Amino acid sequence: MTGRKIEVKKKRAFGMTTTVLSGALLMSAAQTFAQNIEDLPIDAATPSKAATPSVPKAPSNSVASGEMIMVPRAIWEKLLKDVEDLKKKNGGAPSVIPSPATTETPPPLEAPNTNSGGAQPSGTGSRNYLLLPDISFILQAKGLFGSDKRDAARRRLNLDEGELAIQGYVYPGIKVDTFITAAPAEDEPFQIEEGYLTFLGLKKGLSLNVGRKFAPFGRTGETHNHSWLYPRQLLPIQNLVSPEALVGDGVNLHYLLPLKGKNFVRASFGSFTGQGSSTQINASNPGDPFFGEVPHGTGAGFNDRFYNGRVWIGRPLGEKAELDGGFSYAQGPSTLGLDNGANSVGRVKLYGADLTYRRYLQDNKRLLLRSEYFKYKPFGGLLTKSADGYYGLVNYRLDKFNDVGLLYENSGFPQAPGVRENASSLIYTKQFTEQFYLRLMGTHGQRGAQSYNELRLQFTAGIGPHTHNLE
Amino acid sequence: MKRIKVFLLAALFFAPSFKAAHAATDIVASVPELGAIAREVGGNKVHVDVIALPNNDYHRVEPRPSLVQRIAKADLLVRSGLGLDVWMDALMNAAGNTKLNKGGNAYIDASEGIPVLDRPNSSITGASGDVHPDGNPHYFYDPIYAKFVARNIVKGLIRVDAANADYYRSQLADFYKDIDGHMEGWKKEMAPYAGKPVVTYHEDYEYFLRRFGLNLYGTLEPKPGLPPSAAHVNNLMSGMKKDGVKALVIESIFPTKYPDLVSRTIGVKYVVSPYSVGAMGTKTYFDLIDMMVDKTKQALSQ
Repeated sequence: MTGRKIEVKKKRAFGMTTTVLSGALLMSAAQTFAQNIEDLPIDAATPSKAATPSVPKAPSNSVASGEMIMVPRAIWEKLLKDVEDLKKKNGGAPSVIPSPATTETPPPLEAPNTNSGGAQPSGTGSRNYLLLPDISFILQAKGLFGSDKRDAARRRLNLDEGELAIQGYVYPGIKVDTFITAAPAEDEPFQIEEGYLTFLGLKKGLSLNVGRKFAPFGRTGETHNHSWLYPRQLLPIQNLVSPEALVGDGVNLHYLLPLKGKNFVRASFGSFTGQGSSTQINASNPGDPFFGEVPHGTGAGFNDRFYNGRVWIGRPLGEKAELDGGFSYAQGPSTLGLDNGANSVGRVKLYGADLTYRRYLQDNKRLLLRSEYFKYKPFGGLLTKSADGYYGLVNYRLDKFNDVGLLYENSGFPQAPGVRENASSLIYTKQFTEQFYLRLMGTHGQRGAQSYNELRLQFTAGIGPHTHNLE
Repeated sequence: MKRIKVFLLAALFFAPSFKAAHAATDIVASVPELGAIAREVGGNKVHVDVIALPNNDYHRVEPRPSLVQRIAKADLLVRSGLGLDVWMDALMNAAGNTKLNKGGNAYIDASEGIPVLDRPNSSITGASGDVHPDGNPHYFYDPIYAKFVARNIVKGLIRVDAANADYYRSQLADFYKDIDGHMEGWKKEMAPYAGKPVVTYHEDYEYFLRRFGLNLYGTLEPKPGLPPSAAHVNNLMSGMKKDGVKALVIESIFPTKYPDLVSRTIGVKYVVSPYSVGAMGTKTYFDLIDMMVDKTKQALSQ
């Protein structure tokens, strides 16, 4: 670099030819030069006054004004050459693919020979934005076209929900997941659907969730609606567990049993404060339990601290198939409103059992069979009755972009003993990209004494990295 | 009696669980190619499990329960990086094996040091398709970059099993030699076709084609991850006809509806080539590249 200083000084002394340059261009080159030169040793980066070419200092608005200045051509060309040299030195496209130095690799092992042709690099390896959380947004629009005229939601295509997810580690072994939903049709359009910390690896196999969370109850209890294989919550879950998900504020402990082999057994225990139910019981006219509307469930309606537990067992059946199943239990206080303004207070026990079989076939095909049974049991004076429900689902992925499903649901209603709803549905999903799909579900069902036909439409589109629980 | 029955049922269910523990280092690799390379360099000192099944689209793997235990008991994790195996996050959360977390000794990003293709240099949106912000993640189909992968794995192995460091170094040296030896043959086989254009379904063969001096002319997908559209395929066929493109290589996970259409319309017969180690009868990394070379040659020979 000393040589460069002398050379510049010489040329300046000889008063070489000059050229007219744009001030903006020169400033841009000079700024790049200044930026790059900071990386050089101090003696090289700070030339003496005598050696520094006399470049007029541009006013701060020189870019905008396009002011013209004059400098010797030789100085300008040398400056440009220096900038180019520094650019190459500081990460410009190298002619030879760099091989990372590794102290673990002994000298006799030569670095991989990369001179046999191949790609030109545009960067190496994964970029690590360790401080940036995963931020994503998922939008869902749904439509319902049905023959049951009691259904107020029919013949509408609505923006159903937008979900903003912010996920990332806040400390080694501690992760935060926040899901904020915007649902225009809800009484509270903006909600924190889930927001919890996960303490991973407290002890081998043990993890703890603290915050607002979907309680692990049932096979899909922790699954968000955009990850379902159908466009609406399943009838027995709506009626007996919760219209959307059993959610609450509290803690949940997962324990993965340290089994040898590939078997999976996870036990989950939680204690949450529930959010209650807005469903009313028609106490003054029990013969009309649904107030003349479409039959709908109450869900468990846990409104205070409830407890839940789940054991989930899975094992592979060869390389391409697996079976998993589980048992779930929850119990807690429930308060349901009556039509006369009073409340019915008591407790509810929920039971669940599920079984899933999956088989992966050639060419990206996948068969999934799933069935689940639920039981709702009130006690302690609650004005509802025991009810149960179940469903069976077959989902077949034809290829990367298409899957079809068959669903049969059958469920009772806690507020309407003897009334059942059953529905048979055919589902088709077109997956356009990893985060964008269209789903159609055609249903023929029977609600109490009345049969109906429905067509449901679902658009789901997402942007950004998004992680969920096991599927 | 009832309790005995329950116990017997449970014992039957978990029968394979009671096998003797092995002392080998347990490696979990996200995709089969990384697993195959780990087996090459780990030799008899490692036991390798792979999460994605062969011929399972690596962009879309279901994080299912039976995969959790493999990660929970693993000593070393090999991930592809570059945003290909993001589904591993759900499994890692469920497994709670914090020693495998990013930045730890037992975490390997196999893409480290690999010159990445197609890294976007302008803004990308959903309209760009399933573009990976970090660049094309299918580098493991390039045999030279397999050496980088192997070295990254050996570095990790030495970190977690220093007692066998010399063994791993020797295995790595052997792997380099094997690759170099095979490269001579592969290059000779592909040399007559240098500069020829090839069409594939997705951009996953790009590293492989470039390594052997071939040009990726286009893909049936209009943009990465998007299904082919009639309009795009029509344009592609016009171009192929005009420019005399005769090679259509379809990776083994993709449907053949549009390749059939191309064959019928412009007479370019497609050749199906393996997507994974484990697909189409391949068992090792070398089998995979052997077959990719064979199939590409077959397509180019039309």
